[in-house]
Amino acid sequence: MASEATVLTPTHRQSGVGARLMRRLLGRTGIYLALTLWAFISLFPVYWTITTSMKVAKDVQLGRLIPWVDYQPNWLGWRSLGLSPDTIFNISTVREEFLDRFLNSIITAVGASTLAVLIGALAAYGLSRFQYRFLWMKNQDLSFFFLSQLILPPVVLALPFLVLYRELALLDSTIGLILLYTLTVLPIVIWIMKDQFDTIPIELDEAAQVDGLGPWGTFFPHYRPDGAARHGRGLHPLADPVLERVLLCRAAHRRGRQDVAGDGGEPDGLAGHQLVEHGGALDRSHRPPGGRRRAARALHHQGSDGRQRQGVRRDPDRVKSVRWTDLSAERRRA
Amino acid sequence: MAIFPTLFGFSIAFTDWNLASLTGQKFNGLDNLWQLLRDPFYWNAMVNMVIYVLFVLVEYAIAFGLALLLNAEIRARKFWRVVFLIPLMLSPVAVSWMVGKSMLEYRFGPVARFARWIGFQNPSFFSDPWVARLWIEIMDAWVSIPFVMILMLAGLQAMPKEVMEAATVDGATPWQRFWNVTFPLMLPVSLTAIILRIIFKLKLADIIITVTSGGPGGATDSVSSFIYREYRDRSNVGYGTMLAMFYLVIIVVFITTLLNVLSRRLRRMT
Repeated sequence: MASEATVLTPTHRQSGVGARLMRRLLGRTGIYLALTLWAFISLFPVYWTITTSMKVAKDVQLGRLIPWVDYQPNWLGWRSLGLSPDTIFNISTVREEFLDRFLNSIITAVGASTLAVLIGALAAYGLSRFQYRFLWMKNQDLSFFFLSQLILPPVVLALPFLVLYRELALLDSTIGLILLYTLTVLPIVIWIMKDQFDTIPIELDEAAQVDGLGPWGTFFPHYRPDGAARHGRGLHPLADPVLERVLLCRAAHRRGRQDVAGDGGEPDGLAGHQLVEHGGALDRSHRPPGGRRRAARALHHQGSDGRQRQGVRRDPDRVKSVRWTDLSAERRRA
Repeated sequence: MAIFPTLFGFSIAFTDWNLASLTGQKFNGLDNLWQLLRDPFYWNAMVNMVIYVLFVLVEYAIAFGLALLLNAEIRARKFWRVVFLIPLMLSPVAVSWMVGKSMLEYRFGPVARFARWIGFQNPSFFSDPWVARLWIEIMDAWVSIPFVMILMLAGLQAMPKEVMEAATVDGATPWQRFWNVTFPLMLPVSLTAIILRIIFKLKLADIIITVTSGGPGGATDSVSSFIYREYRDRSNVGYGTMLAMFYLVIIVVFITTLLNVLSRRLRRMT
């Protein structure tokens, strides 16, 4: 009996740990199952389209799914576009027409988004940092005016634009398209970017101003006097993560924000960003661990052009470590 | 560029301009408005829009769930994120061909095949009004859930970690942590996402035009697609513009009220 008890106790304790482990394992499996399910949902239509492009009519009607297993893929469709391997070097009018349209799309998309981000970022920065007054309208009303542009269903504008473009001789031109699309995406850009600028502590801007940067200098990443512009980014460095998400393109990822779980050593990526941007001499490997406070302090010491500034030395502790709570309090006051 | 079209639109909304008519445009006062108020198809489309807009909440719930998944400690996060974003990169017109016309084909489409395999006798996706609405909504959701998801994910990543850690230390269960910490902190972002989504939803047109063009019997018609048909098939420019302007007024009133109510609620809660 006694021996049985001694045997039982450890297993008992172990089963507690085991249950927790089990639950954790179940949770993980659940997460990955859900991820896989949604990945399937997102990818299947794409898969279906790609495989169907290589089917002949019979394969489509028989509902064949997997290439090489239940049907033999065929370049028939691609050949008629002039894009299959055996016709890609031949001259093909169809392909040229297709690629022409493709090029049009690319030009329009790139042109419109560049323009929209440039104008939108400036507008958002202004709305977030300065007070305007236009007739009876203040910042809030202006933001809402921009938003209302977004509300407009595109059909409403179809005819007016036709008339306008005929007058301006913009009909059937890429520039006309670019302008039109800029107009339609601008509200989103302004809105999202303004939200983002609002979350950037204004103290950082003030610090930059103390360091002698004007509004433009605060906005754009800093040019170092020795000409070594270190960054490919073109806008307010702190807005970058969101910009990146807005455009869905990966800019040069110097310090991918909290992407990898478990690099919790640094509670926020933002200050890291700022640090790297401003302190030209620092790079990733030298970045001190620690939160905003450290980073801000370092930023301050560094001065905006990477050198020690003698004239305006502020007490480093005055650069507050801005927490979310402070920020919302700030906003409520405003 | 931004203001002229709107003003010009207002001016032609009160004419009887039909592109096919020989007499050109003529001011006809409020006739268009009276005609609009008695147009059953227009109001039918309005009701559909209400249904579509309500679906936004479902989309939001799914998107929030996905954002939480992506924010959890998982391997190959970038991979999943890119995979989840793929639908967003496709154009709605392409999607309506890929999904609506090809996958939902009632004889050979894989979905029909699957439905038959489960046991439906004659699966058809666009003949019953509610089923048709649901499928249009599914297609639209498939394209736009990633958009909401990415907004939510950005919000989740900007959330201060300390609060979460504090809650964990205090012994909150994951469920409590979600409802008492994550959800309230995410409310502002959620609002932004939902409102943006509603605004986009109100413009829903291309999928409907390509897949069902409003059918069966106007069950899937959105206001935008209805106006589009008024323009294209009937060249009724004056009346179509009046429909659009009326829609615009309704939307502006709706969104303004929504924003006001929600932001007041939000302020009271924080």
